[in-house]
Amino acid sequence: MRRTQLFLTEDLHKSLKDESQEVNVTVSELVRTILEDHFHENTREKTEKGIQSLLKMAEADE
Amino acid sequence: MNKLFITASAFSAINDRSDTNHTKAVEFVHGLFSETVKLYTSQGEVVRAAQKIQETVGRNKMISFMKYLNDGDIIVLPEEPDLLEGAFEVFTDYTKDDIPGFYNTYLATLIKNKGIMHVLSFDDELRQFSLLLWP
Repeated sequence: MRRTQLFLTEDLHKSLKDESQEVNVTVSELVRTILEDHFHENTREKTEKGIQSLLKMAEADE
Repeated sequence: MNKLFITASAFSAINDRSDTNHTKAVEFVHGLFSETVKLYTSQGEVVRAAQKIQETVGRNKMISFMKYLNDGDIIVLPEEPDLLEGAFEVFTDYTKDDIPGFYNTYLATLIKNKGIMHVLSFDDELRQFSLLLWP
């Protein structure tokens, strides 16, 4: 794992801290989960768009 | 599989219904819906595929190919200046009995430089470079 420094607004930091306490994880774990979900969702959307393009190519009139 | 590189032979098979690998290629693409994978190709593979599709299927189909490629989220990798030198080094490391074609050496070097192991292709020679070929 790599260590990094984040500059967050007071409100965002408070929200992260509150939520991490609610779900009983550290702020770092919560940030990791949020980022992993973001990248997964982002990649998933791109995968579907890419597959749709490939299928449209296959179906296009010759 | 988190990254998949698509070669010109796979694009040709997808676009050309008379290609012997068309059904296999399209079935594989349908199967990708169960994966979360980034799709890649390269400028060179796009040019090769476009030329082949134009020659075998026709200009309209080639235009559709380019249009859908641009609309989709398939990452088209540039071919960087040091790639040729890197590919030549890999090529000269092969023994005389085991020489792959220089084009596939170049392509495999590009793919591996990007940390990609999975390849959708019908170029069997790419297996020599320890890439995982699909379908």
